Amino acid sequence: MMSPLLQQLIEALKCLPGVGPKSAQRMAFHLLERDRNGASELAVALQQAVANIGHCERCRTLSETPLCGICASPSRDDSKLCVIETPADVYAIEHIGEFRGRYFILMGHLSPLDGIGPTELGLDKLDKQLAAGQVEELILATNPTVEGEATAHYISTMAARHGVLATRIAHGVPLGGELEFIDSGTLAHAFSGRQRLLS
Amino acid sequence: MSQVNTQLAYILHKRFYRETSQIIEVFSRDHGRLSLMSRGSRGSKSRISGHLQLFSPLLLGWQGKGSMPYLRTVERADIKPPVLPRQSLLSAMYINELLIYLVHKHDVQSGIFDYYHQCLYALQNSTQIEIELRKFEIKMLALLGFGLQLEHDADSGKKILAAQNYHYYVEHGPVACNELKVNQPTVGRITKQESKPVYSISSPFIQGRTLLALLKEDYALIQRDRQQLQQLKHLMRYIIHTHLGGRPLKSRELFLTP
Repeated sequence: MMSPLLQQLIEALKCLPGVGPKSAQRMAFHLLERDRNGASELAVALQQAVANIGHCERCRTLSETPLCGICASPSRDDSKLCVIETPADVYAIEHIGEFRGRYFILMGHLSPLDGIGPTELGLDKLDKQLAAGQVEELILATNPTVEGEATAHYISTMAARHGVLATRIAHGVPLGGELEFIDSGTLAHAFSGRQRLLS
Repeated sequence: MSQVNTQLAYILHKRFYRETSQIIEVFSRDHGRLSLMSRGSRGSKSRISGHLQLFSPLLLGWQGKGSMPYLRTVERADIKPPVLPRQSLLSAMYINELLIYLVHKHDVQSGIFDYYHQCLYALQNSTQIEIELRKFEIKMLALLGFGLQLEHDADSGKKILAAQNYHYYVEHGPVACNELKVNQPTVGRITKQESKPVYSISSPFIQGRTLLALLKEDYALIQRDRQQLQQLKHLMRYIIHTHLGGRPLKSRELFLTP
């Protein structure tokens, strides 16, 4: 029979994604037998994170200050706003180094069957930002999935109400890709979005 | 160990499971609606993630016992997939939500599958969205055994008259009414099956000619008249609301303009 505290720890660890009873038990034993220091650091870090990290008031990313680093920066271009699905996308776009505007993070996409509608994505906040009139171009960089397209369409109608230009990122053949191995949907998109070669 | 090969199917919904897998809700022609576990189908290395998209006809193969077999093969079906314009995507998502809530798992509904298939192609034309949705709702309910009563007045048994207005009651039928009491409460009228007669939508009224057009499946006639289309929409919303047991549909929120 396991002690109640140990049992409680195992139950708590099961909340992690992909962790079942066996893995939770292994983690609990490892923390208690081999790495007590690590365990207390983890406990403190978890507690601080849960207590202090909230959402940025402006772009909804995870942040412990009311405004995140990017939103607080004065050197950013206020006229361009990029809408993305997850905070991980911010790092991907920042990595290109091209974009100097601001972000708005949906934390998902419209998915009625998961109970995710416009309010869950914080679109009322986005609506207010569009109404404020600073934004001139809204770049819709949701994923090129059916759900992402639907979300982009929904947001583009919002932008149209406020007279803001909405643009969608291009999608098609990846760099270094070979047409032979590309699925027909992607290729069809690449074809319909072809551009004139200026020479 | 049961195995199914190259079954024509659509994906209705996907949800992520663990690191790289997903659980997909599938509506297949000959095996009805079911959930499949698709292992390792996420991420850039997966060869099939591009195929596993909503609203695209697929040939799926799966294997396994129990409630969640494993997806084995995915191919694009050899028909041109519907190219839905962005305006139609939200409507198509609404249909998926209806199917998931109203069609039971493993209930083989080839007829509904065929209507779904046709409806997706019809939604390619974004001017037809509204009437196509109504058409699908009516046909789906009929195949599920909840068809509309369109021929006779449910109280008097007389034939439906084009010029007459009717109130429509679920599981009863149209009843002639002389005054248009749009907000007449439904309480007391639908007594048998409704133990909780609390509705946000009241039993709607509808013109006789709309009912007669539905009987003849003359949807073009309804589409021409804004008012009839609107009445039919309220009627279907009320009927579906009843069959869902009052469960709200999330995709309806997408059509509310703030």
